[in-house]
Formats: sequence, structure tokens, C-alpha cells
Amino acid sequence: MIFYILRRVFWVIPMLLGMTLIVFTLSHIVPGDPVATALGPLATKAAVERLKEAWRLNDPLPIQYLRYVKQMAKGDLGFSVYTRRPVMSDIRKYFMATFELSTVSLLIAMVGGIVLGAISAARKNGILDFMVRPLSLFGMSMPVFWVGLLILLLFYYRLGLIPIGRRIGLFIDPPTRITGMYIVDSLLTGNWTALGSAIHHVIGPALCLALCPLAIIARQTRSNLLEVLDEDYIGTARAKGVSEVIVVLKHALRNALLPIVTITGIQYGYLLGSSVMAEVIFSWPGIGRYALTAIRHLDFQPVLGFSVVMALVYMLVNLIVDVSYVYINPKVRFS
Amino acid sequence: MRSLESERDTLFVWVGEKATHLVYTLRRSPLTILGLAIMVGFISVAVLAPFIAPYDPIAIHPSDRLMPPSKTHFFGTDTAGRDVFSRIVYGSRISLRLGLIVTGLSVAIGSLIGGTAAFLGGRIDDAVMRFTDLCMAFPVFVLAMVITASLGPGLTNVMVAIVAIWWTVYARLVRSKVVEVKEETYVEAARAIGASEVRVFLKHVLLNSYSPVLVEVTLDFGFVVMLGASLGFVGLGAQPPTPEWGAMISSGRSYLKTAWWYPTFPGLAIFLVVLGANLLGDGLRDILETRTR
Repeated sequence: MIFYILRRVFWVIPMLLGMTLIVFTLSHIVPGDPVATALGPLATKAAVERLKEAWRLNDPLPIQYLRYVKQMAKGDLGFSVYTRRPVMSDIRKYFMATFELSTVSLLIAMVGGIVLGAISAARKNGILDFMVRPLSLFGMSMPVFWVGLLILLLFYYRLGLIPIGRRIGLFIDPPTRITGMYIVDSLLTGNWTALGSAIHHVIGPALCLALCPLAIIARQTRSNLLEVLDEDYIGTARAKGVSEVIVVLKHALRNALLPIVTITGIQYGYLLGSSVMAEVIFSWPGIGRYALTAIRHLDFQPVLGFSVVMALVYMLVNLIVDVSYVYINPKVRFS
Repeated sequence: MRSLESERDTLFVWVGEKATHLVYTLRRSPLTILGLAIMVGFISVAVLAPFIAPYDPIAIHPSDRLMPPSKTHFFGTDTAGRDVFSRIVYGSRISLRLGLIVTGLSVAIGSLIGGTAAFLGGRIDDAVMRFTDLCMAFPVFVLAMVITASLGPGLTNVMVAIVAIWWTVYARLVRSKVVEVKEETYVEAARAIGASEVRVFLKHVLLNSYSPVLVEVTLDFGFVVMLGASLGFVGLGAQPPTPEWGAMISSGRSYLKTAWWYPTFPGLAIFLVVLGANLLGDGLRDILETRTR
């Protein structure tokens, strides 16, 4: 098992290299000229050439790529022409907001999806089951940005229940920075006012993002659980007189949840991608909105940094999922 | 020797049986029928757009701006006084075409590359599979966004970007199936009677690897339409005044408070198309799976 984990961890490096190669090549076929954009419309041709030389944009692409990789290894992702700051410090500023948002969404999706799916399967053909099946298909089919607008319309404009545009109340001091995630930091420092405010601010965009994965997890849980409930050992447990609640929770659900673990990684990728749209709608100060602004200004270093970070996080999450799957699945663990 | 006529009759009986089976299964699954109806409905709307839309989707009427839904404007009007209903009707052409072209091209490219890789095996197979691994290491939307941004905003570039990612899905799917099929006896038989490698590959291997692709295509169609609209929403897709659903929602977003109908109805259209594809794909999977069981 150690060998498997090591191999998986090692595999991240060539993947990361391949990935940067793809994105790097892409960002250099961009039609707009970043130097001209940086200097504005009044720049002289000589000035553009001088800056190009200074940024070493006249070197052949492979050399530029090698230089980029070398810098990346040192944690340097280049310089943003638009914000006029190093990309790394921008990303550090915005990334945790996105990470917090997508993690809260994943938690909502998993808890909600598993509970709904489990009840739906345990009471097969009951009222809830009858509603969960079409509702989960609805949830899967709704575009994130549309759900976001509906939430905004109802809970922000009509009912005034949720705030937007900030991660924490205007008059509340953010908790001392430990992880950068406001909820975790306020929990760690015992700052309950900040905690309440942070949760209040994240709930709108998090619900919007969670809907689709919640629907998928609910569906998957339901069908897995129904399959497991057909197994012989469930019959044995029932025959022994074990109560139905314990049969479902202890004997069936634990086994039905194994495949759910594997889809969590994929769902997380979906959440990372969709968070761009949720951030735009709820004005959430995250990395997706940052990348989108950079795209609009033809500022490619941040876009490159954004995709590298997103892919890295996605790969790490999937690594954790795969490794924990090996760990929790007794069939694999003892083989 | 059997006559041609009797062979034709057997064919008719076979087709008849399949059709009866299909109708029978469909009748027992109202949700699949609903999905089919939604898809057929949207395709008809797209084809008949000029006859259905009461107004020009692009012509500007400043005096009619932001009118709420009424008898003259079913879904209200936007900031330029354009009829939202007509724009949605014309928008169906854009979204459905995007879905068709992207899934079509992805299936074609993916099955050719994936199939060839599996058929040839060895280094080529490894290389192709590592490349698909690489594409899957990105969250789909992030990669699509970055590719479209590099190529420059626009509908064609959105399609190119999605195909560039999506063919890998089918490459993997077809590959896994081809690896299975190429060991079958009938493939060996075809070789034994002297069929060329190309013929063996195209006719005997590839054609027999197709059933899982059919279901996947239907389910993916909805997802691709949604992805296209998402790129439109972040401003990378069709540019105004093109009546693209995602772009319409994006421009209607700022008027959410005063003119809720402007971004709401295009979203409803996307939702319905995706729902239709999901219902139909789900139903097809059930039907095809019971048949193989």
C-alpha cells in the first residue's frame, strides 16, 4: 500500500509539468499582445519593444517555458500586468476564499445528499422517495449561474436574508489569519461573532454550488443503498431481529458509501470550476473572479497561475480521495 | 440458399420486434417519454424558429425597453426593447447546434484515436492514455475557460475548446471497449479470411464497440449545452447581440432586481434542454442495459 501511495504522489510531478506545458503553450497563442495592453494605446513601438526585451518575451518558447517552470518551482508564478503585483501574492490573497467556498459546498452536498439518498432508499416508493428522484434530476440539470440568480432574487432582493459581496460583515474584524479560511480560523480562535458572520456570508454561494453535486450524491447513495439492501447479509441481520434503523445505518449504509467516496473527487473538480460563476454572481472575492478579470484584460500570467493552482488542488484532492479509498475499503486494505 | 425476399422478411420481423420492445419499454417509463418530448420540442423550435418567433431577435426598439411579460411579449423585453421570447427561440438554434457539433466531433475524434490506440496497443496506446489523463487532471470548466480565453472569445472557439477536452472522454470509453472486442473470435475469423487490418478495425472492431457510446452521448449532450452556456455567461462565448442563452443571462444579471424576467427565462430554457437530455439518457441506459442483461 505504501508503494501505491508513493507512486501516486510521485505521479503528480510529471502531470504538473504536462499541465503547465499545455497551459503555457495555450497562453502564448493568445491573439492580444500583453505588452501593448500593459503600456496602453499611446505607447510607442520602441517602448513596446524595450519592454518585450525586458520581459524576455523575444526568447524562443521552449526557453521561456523552462524559465517559467524554474520560477514555478521557487513559488514564483510571474507578474500581473493588471494588478501590478506578483501573481503568487494575488493568488494567496484570493485562493483561500475559493477553497473555503468549495469546501463548505462539498460538505453541504455530501451531508444533504447522503441523508436524502438514504431516507429515499430506506423508504422506497414512499412520499420522499417519490420526490427525491425527480428533484435530483432537476438539481442536476440546473445551470449553476441560473440557480445563483434565483437564490439572489429570492433571498437577497426579495427577502433580504443573505448578504453578498463580502466574506464577513463590514463591521466585524476578520479572525486572526491561521489558515485563511474565515470559518476555520474563527473556530480555532473561538471568535464566535466572526464565525456566525462568516457562515452567514458563505451560505448563499455555497448552496448555489452544492445543488448539483447534492443531487448526484443523493441519486448515487439511493441506488447503492438499494443494491446493498438486497444482499444476503442484510437479510441475515433482519432475521436476527436487528432493528430496521440499525440495519440501514450500520449494516447497509457503511457499505453503500464506499463508491460515494470515489465520486467525491470528481465532484470537487466540478465545484472548483463552477465556483468561478458563483463568485461572479455573489461578488465573492475568490480566485475565479480574479482569473476572469485577468482574462478580460488579456493579462495571461494570472490565468496561467490560476489554472496551475486549480489543477494542483484538484489533483491533490483526488490523491487524498484515492488513498483514503484504499484505506477505508477493507477489500483493498487487506489484499 | 435463402431467397432475398425471405431475408428481407426476417429483417422486417427483427426491426418490428425491436420497435415493439422499444415502445413497450418507453410506455412503462413516462420520464423517458417526457425527456424525448422535451428534446423533440426544442429541436422543432430550433428548426421552425422564424415561424415561431413573433419578433426579430436582434432589432432594437428603445421605446419598449424592460417591459414585463404580457400578451404581446410573453417573456417581456430586454434593455434594448428586444422580445425575450423571440431571442430564446432563436437561441435554441445556437445551443442545440453547439451541442450537436461538439458531441458529434468529440465522438468521431475520440473513437478514432481511442480505437486506434487500443487496436495498435503498445507505446501509442500508452501515450494516448497518458494524454487523456492529463486532460482529466483539470476541472473541466477551468480548462474550457482557459482554452477559450487563449483562442479569443467567440462561439466557434467555445466549440473548439470543448471538443479539445471532450474527445478524451470518448477516447477512453471506446478504448476500453475495443480492448475487449478485439479479442473476440469473429475478429480473428475476419483476419483469417484475409480482411485488411483497416477493414477489421473499422467494420468489425469499432462498429461493435458502440453501445456504451450511445448512452454517453445523450447524457453528454445536456452537459455540453450547459458548458457552452456557462462560457457564454462568463463572457467568453457568443458576443452581443447574438441571442445566446448564457450571454443573455449574463447581460440580464444586472437587471435582476427590476426586470426578473430578463435573466430568468433564458435560464429556464437551458434547464429544460439539459433536463430533457438527462431524462432521455437515463431512460436509454435503462433500456439498453435490460437488453444486454
